[in-house]
Amino acid sequence: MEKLKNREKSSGPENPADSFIFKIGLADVIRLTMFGTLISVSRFVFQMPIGVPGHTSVYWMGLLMLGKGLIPRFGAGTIMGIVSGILAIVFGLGKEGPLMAFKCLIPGMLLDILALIFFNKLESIWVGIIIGALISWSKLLTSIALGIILDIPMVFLAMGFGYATLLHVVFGAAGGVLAAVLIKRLKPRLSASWQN
Amino acid sequence: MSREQRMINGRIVTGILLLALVIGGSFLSEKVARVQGSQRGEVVPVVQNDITVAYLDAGVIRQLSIQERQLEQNRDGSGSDNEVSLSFVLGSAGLVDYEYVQATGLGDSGECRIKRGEVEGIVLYTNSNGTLSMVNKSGGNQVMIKEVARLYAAD
Repeated sequence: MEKLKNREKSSGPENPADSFIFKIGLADVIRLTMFGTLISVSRFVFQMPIGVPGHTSVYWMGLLMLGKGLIPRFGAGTIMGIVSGILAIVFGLGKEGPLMAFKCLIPGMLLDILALIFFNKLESIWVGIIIGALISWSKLLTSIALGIILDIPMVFLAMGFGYATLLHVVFGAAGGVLAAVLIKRLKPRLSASWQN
Repeated sequence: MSREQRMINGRIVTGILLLALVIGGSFLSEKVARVQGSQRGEVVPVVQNDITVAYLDAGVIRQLSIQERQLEQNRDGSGSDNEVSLSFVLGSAGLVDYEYVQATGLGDSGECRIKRGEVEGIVLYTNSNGTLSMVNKSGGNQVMIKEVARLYAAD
């Protein structure tokens, strides 16, 4: 009887594990950490030496949106951004040093806001295209801002800001489409087991 | 169709228009920046046969300077982030087959014609105001053009 009471207590609304950060439970935070890690790892596993700016957005924005689509809580994008940003610094990715974290954090934060505007309907292809393209573009703008602040050469701008924007939008949209398809297929299967 | 679905559809249309605006605005702002930069000498077009093959600015010069020094590391490794040889700049722009290079200065600050064999020893410097100057290093660091406005390569 005592054991049962204890079990009830641990699953009660006052349990700190149910509202670990940004009112997201510990289990979801751990899942989001997994997605954040995947983003950082994919950046150097799948990075192709093709010299086309923004091509990393396909899997970067894709994974970011997949995580948000499967765990539709406000702050999920920010948590993935924080985790991938910290790991990017640890792995030494990018030329921006510790400020590299902003490049990961800003798309995540924007994703949280945009998902709210679109009622978290990330399984829609059109919503995927729009959100993927916009968060990918926000990454480009953050890169430019960091390049100006740190006075580092911005190679992608050598081919023109318009062209760089177009590529970021196209690759981001592609990532968004992939994420929308995966969310549509995975969400019904995972929603039962990922409730807690 | 539910009210929520109608709202999402409206926001999707707005989102697509926003994306079109973002892409169009980026190309427009780039064009405006290039025109204004060319007038101020901060963006230097490299032209061959009346076709602009590349644009140079202080950032591009700095990037090329790093690449050139990395390539020449085994030889001397000297130089600064603000200078790059004219031959390296032209080579990076894909210009290898030309007879002479004509550099035009901003406003009335001069014009000079450099034959292919004379290009070695001439460097482009970035000035503090973001413009580029052309200097003859082999001729005692003589400033040939204070603010370069255009580079023209002729066959």
